[in-house]
Amino acid sequence: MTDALGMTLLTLEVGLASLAVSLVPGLFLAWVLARRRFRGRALLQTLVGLPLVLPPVAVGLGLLLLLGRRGPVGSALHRWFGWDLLFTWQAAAIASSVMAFPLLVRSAQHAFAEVPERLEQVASALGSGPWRVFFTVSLPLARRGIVYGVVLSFARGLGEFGATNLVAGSIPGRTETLALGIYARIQSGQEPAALGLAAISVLLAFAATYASELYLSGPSRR
Amino acid sequence: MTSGPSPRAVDRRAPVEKAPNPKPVGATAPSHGPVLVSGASSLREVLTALAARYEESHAGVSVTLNFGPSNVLARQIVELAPVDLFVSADGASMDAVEKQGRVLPGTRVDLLSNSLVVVVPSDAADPVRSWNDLASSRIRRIAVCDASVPIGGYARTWLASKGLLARLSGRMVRPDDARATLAMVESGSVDAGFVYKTDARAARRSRVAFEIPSGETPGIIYPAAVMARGPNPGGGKSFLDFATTSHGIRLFSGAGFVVLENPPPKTTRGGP
Repeated sequence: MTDALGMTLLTLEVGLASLAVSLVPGLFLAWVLARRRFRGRALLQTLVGLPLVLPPVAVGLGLLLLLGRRGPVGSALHRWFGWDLLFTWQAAAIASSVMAFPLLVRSAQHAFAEVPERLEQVASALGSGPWRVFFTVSLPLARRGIVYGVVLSFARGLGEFGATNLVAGSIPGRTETLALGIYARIQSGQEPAALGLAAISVLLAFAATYASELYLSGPSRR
Repeated sequence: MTSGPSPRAVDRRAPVEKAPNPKPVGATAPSHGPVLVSGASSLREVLTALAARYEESHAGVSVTLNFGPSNVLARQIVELAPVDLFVSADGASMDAVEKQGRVLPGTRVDLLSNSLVVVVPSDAADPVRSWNDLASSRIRRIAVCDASVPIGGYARTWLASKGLLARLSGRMVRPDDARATLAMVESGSVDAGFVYKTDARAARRSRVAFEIPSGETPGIIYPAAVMARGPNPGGGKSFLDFATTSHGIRLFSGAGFVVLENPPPKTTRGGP
């Protein structure tokens, strides 16, 4: 069924895009929250975790107000680039990345916090600059938690529904991801089709998780 | 086009940047650019079929459909989502959109009507035959959507008029919309639920217990209007006109909707 294939590819596209958008800022924030003490740290921590505790549709409404042509971001993008974000797969990706962000940051943050600071200090004392320390000490030692966070946020992004629905609409062929497609088919009483799409969702999540397990349980002692 | 001079009068008033004047059906070039229609969830199948028919008779034109609860669709439109035509399941959502200046003047019509029915699982032991039965103890759980959703509003108003709203509120479950309600009833997780008559036609493991007479509910009206701030109001108008032709009427009636008398789009407001 080409319908299903199209929907799967769209969902993967949205999921990967949302991951790409959140990866660098997410890891950066995770490291800052793990390693630095500063005023407002608790506030930042709370803000980062907010999408996790808010109902997705509330986040979606906030994004709608921001990204619509009336909103601050939407009107600026429209004025400068002629972009209209609502009802596009990019909006879906943004919604997904916002919803999945806390999962990435929290997992990575714990992972960075677990890296013995002493090792980083030693590397630094031996002459490595901060970036070198990050890439050769912190990141590799934290990779379990980071991979876990990446897979978790990717899977969350794949299944994102409430926020995506509001800013991207549910447009078959354009923004109807697997999650929205399942919902639509349940609504029309097409249960076999809905189950088929659900099976694909399970397969995708399974594949992502299994791949990460293989990577993490590979030879790790160096 | 289908309804005489009115569309052209509207086109002249509306700044239609991308859509050229609609050509007669059957012309070789696409008569207008792509159209995006936001429709209430209960119109999913019928609008999909209508869009397919429209694309068949208007070569090269693509109709994109966006479905959801009417209040969500209205919210998107208010935030300037690129919608050309909005078909809502209640007047309130259309009013909200109109109040924000999104409606192209003169294009709002009351397109369809529907009926409210109470459905029960097919294997329900004791039949529910009328509204009195709803209050009985064998109805332990009843699915009624929230008042913010059109069907929830209609159902609750009717229940209140029968003095049942307060009595049943402790037994109510709130699904997201009519389709979710139907799914709940079909799965047997509730003993009864309020859905549209048109939704009940898709029922397999549930049946209609009774229909609420149209006189007892506020009119269930599906208004449709062209959106002024959409990218292609001309195309939206063209699709709306198509919906009121015999093609549209046949599809809507076939799905169980009551097609309201189709007044020609009002062009009385403003000048040319």
